[in-house]
Amino acid sequence: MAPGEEGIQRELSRGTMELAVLALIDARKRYGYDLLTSLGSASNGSIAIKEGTLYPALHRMEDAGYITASWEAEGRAAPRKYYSITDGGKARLEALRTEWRRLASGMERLLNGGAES
Amino acid sequence: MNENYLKEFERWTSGPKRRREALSAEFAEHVREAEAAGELGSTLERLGPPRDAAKAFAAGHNLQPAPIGRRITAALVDFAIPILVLLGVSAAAALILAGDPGRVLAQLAGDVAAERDPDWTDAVQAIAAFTAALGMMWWVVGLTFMEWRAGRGPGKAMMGLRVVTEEGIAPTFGQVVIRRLTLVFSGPLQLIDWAFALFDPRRQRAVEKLAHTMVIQDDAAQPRPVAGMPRVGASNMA
Repeated sequence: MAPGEEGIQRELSRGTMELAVLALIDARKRYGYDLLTSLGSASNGSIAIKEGTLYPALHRMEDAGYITASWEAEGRAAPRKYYSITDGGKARLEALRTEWRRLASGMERLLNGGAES
Repeated sequence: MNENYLKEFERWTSGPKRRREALSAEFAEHVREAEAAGELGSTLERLGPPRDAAKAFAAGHNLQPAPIGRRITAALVDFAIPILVLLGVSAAAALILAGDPGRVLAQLAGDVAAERDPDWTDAVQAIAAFTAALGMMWWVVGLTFMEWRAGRGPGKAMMGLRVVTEEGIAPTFGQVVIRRLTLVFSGPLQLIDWAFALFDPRRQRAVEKLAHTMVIQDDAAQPRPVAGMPRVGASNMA
């Protein structure tokens, strides 16, 4: 990775964190470590985050009522703390998804040379 | 799992026991999953020192700033404790040293009625001076030490408050020293320092902004344990 590229990636990852996490949790409930690894693999490595970014974001979303946490063992010796999406989280995800698509399409046009392209 | 790392992590967590347990449980689960995936080394490297790990797992939750009224009451309680001790010890010493408490009381009453200085002995004055010095030690050293180790002195404990960093972990000694710099301020500067808290959304005084600390309502601190949470402690970690 070129110098400075990691910083750019970090900034962009932070901006899209809430959308990415809600999208993953919407598919199925997830625990923290699973989210950390899935964010990287599901985005082909374009979203690379650390615990110091993921967990505060999870806690903010939990306090905002977008996700809820529960400890479940599911037959394992040690339980995991799973995060699930709430109805409020689904509405938030839809709003973010719409905004993201609008922004991505605008950026795509802009990067391709502007409105005439 | 490195037991010392978890112990240090727990040392940096702050708040009621149930909050510290909830933070430790989520952290321990994360590390356990990393270990199972064969990624423990890189995970601990990413987490950094235990204090940074504690920040990562504590940050993001709402911290309820303490109301100004409760903070002022707590400060008055902490201020009053050594004064009450000073008065109590001096009065007791006066009575005991005189050997006749009834006579001392009558004499003091007579002196007061006659507008004469009470007949304090040198010994009583020495004890009063010693107690006053202890009071200064209490304000400067005692309260600083208690806020560093426990996040609060008796006043804040009575009012259900605690000093934490802006991320919600225990403050360092340096942070506590900085937030207690108010001690060296005289009247107007101290008022300005407190005035910051009136207008700040986190109710931080000026020196608290410098120290990156805040005073929160301890009983409202998140997270709280949820059903099924395992009990975690450095002593029972693998």
